[in-house]
Amino acid sequence: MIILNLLNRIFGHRGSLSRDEISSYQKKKNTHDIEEKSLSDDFDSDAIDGWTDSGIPIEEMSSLDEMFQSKYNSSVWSSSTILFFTLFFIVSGVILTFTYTSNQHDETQLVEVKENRQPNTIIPIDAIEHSTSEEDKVINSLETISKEKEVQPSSLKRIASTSDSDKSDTIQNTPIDQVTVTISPEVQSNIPVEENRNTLVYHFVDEFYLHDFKLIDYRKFRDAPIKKRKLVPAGTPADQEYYESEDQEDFVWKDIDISYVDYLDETMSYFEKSNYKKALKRCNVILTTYEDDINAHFYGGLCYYNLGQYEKAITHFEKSYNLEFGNFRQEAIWFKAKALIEMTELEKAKQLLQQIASENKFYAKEASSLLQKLK
Amino acid sequence: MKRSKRKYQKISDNELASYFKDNSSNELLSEIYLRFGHLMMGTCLKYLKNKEEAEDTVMELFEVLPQKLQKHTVEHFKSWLYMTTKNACLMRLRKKNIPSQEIDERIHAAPEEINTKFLEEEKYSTLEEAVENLKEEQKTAVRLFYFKRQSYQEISKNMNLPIKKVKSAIQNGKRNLKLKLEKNDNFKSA
Repeated sequence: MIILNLLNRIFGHRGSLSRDEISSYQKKKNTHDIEEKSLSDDFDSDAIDGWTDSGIPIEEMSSLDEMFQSKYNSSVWSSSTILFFTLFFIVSGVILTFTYTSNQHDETQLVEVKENRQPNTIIPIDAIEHSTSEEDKVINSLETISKEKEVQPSSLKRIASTSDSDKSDTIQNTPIDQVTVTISPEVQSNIPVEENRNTLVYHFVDEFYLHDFKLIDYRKFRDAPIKKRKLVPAGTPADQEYYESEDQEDFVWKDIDISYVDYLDETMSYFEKSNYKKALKRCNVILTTYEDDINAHFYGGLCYYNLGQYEKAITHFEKSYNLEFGNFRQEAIWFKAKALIEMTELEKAKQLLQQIASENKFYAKEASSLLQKLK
Repeated sequence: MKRSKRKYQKISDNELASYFKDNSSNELLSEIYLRFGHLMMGTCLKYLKNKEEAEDTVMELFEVLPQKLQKHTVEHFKSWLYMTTKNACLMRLRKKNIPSQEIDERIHAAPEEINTKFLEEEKYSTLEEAVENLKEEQKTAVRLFYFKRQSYQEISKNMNLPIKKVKSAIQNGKRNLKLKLEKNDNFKSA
């Protein structure tokens, strides 16, 4: 699988770069992924060179858009489209007003949606999600921490370890059933355990990978679907729409069921793209259905970490491993230690780092060198 | 009949070109603009280094696209559009007497395809060997870029090379890698 991924990344056909991607590149986000994609085709490669070297932000395409629009009176932005959007927002607005009169946030969401549907940013309908909770509002107001401190999603990927023998050993080992950890007295308080025990046995369960991120394989145990609010078309079916296009499509908010794995897959794709806010909101949705979901706790914790919410991150990291599911234990302790350092709780962090270093696993070297720096 | 959706949204790039044989509606042009307008503009910016001239060139291209597409049978639309765009830029530069090299419009590189028989894990060593045989600069750049997933800027810092050189080392490395693998019959062209 690794070699297949690698070859596909080097030689595979990757599709064209979008405006959003060029815009992200100009803002120095996701640089490697976009560079890699641009290398798959000379057209994309030259285009990104042009935009980068000229120093002109891609948003200035708007002047060309206008020229094009006025010349070709483009049907994509034609009066029927404007009419469609207007009707679409009126219908959505009416439904929202009646359904959620008490919730101010819904209205702001509607405005956001309307902005996003402006001609130059074409966003698929299914990208419009509906969120109401207080926590979501808090998440929306957060900012990603600085690039140096940010935990890069790519650093957690399986593929990232290809050329690093230490890491690949750890990740690609045949599954270990359990690992025994001896707890020294000074770190005992950090791990939920009965006081009279000094040896814990952490069980490892089956893992699987989505977007190359390690995840606990819950597939056999997650029957209940995740509920998601979504604007869905109601009325003329898509295949008949062509013939009856004079009928405008109606959209209504509906609770739809999505299987756990599908929901998680999309969540990980947001995480992969460093869209931490969106990934985090989705982790929280998973936790409302499965309150002790290890995957949601661990990656949700990382999102909080990258959004600078270290306390919340720690809460999640602590819940992301237990005796039954020990798979994320090392990683969770490592990132908890890093979060503690950010909170300047250096003593607690040192204890954890010593623990990691003494276990001689994945993060042992990094923990030792970090300890040296702290001393 | 006017439609509220992008009529040609689901049509592949290559099929788009064939639609011009029968008609050349504004909808069709809009679809091309939405998919490639920013790439055309970027390419023009690269060669012309002037926003207004780049915009003019893109607009001129859209004027001639329908006739060109009705005249020629285009198999690989994206590559064809790239060459056409690049040639338009070079023609403009030539008018200004800036020396440049014209590209043969007939060369339409096809997207590379990986031969399925190469997708076996044991072939990993072949790839490693091919990478190992690259020139030092290309080898390091390819390793850092594809294996370590570093950006041009990071590699430029690590290798102490200008970004342009890093990019060409990766591009040339990739090309040489393909040649080496082709020798071993690991690739086929689409």
